[in-house]
Amino acid sequence: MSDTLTAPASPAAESDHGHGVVHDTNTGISNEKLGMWVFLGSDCMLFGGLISTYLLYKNRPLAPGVTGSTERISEVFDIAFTSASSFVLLMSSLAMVLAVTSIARGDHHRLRLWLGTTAFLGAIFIGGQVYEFTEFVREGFGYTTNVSASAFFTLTGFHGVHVTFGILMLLTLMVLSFKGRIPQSKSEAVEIVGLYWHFVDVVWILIFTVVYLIP
Amino acid sequence: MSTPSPDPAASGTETLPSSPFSEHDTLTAAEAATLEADPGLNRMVHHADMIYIKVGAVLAVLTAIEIALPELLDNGKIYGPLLIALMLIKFVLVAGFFMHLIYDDKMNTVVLGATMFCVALFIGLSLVDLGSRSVVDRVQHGEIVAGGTKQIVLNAAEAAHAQEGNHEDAGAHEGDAEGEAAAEGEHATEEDAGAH
Repeated sequence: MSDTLTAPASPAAESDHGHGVVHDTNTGISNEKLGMWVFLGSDCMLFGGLISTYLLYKNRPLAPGVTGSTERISEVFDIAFTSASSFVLLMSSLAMVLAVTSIARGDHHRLRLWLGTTAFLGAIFIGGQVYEFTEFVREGFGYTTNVSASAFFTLTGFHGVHVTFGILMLLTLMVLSFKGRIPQSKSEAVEIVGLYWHFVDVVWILIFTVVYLIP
Repeated sequence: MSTPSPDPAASGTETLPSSPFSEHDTLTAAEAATLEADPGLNRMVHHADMIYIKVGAVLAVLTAIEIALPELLDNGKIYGPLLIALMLIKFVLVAGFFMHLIYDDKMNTVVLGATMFCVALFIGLSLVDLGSRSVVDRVQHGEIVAGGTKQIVLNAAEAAHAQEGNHEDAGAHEGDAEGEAAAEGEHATEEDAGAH
């Protein structure tokens, strides 16, 4: 895809996420990376639609012609618990960026350590989401309780699926690293997975504020 | 900033992109060799790690402020805008530092910026719709009809009805007067004819 023209001469340039490498593309950046950015852009639109849908229905549990509970799902939010989950996801983003710097300087041991930490924190977040959903169902809010609940579960569920895919990618990177298939020269692969992970974090920053905190 | 760098051999220096990994824009071959010889303490990468840890700490503090905001503020009106401002700061920090947008090629920023503009437009229009929902609901429930609210229209209809009634009464009076005048006229003509 992206042929590299010149490799940087110094470890400083090499460790620079591959930024010192000139790519033979019209944009000067690698196709893989730009492809990930375009994918993230389209994913952003998906989440924009889901957030809009939730905003439109959050205070209108019953749409015209639709039957169901008149209670709003926001009444059973546990802000303290979700805040802790948000903090965990933020810290996973920090661990991810430290993984990227580790591979950039060729430290494979730390790369695996930080990748594992990121995946572990992501798993904690997903576990928290599963617990939260279970509590909501116990409170009487299922996916089909009303349109407000449906919009909420669709939005946060899609985000959870994204986090799960991210964890799978991180574990894959760890396995590849153990097999010695991620040399320092291919640090961009880690950076691209990192972009995806940070995007998932950014989306949660939006969801946490718009859905959970703003009344 | 992936621009072709000048020949390092010719100038003796190597131009590096501005990033958290580089404390200087240029490194001499000697400096690069020094760094290579010191893999245990690669100060540039260490410098980058410190930046990221500081950004992570700022993000954690901002999240704590977000959560504590209802306790800190009495004025609920600025609560929403403040939360959105904090959210945007967190967004910029993650996108700028963790996703390397401030160090990377501007093309990536353009892609994300264009997308965020579209998403903001999307959510903004939804919020405008949300803001006018109360009016839409009143229309659907028949509280607002053509011409204003139901009460206004009813009042207007009553007023119009009352006015019509007045007009009819006045018209009836006018009709009586005309009839009397006509009868008088006929009577007078008959009297004239009798006199002749």
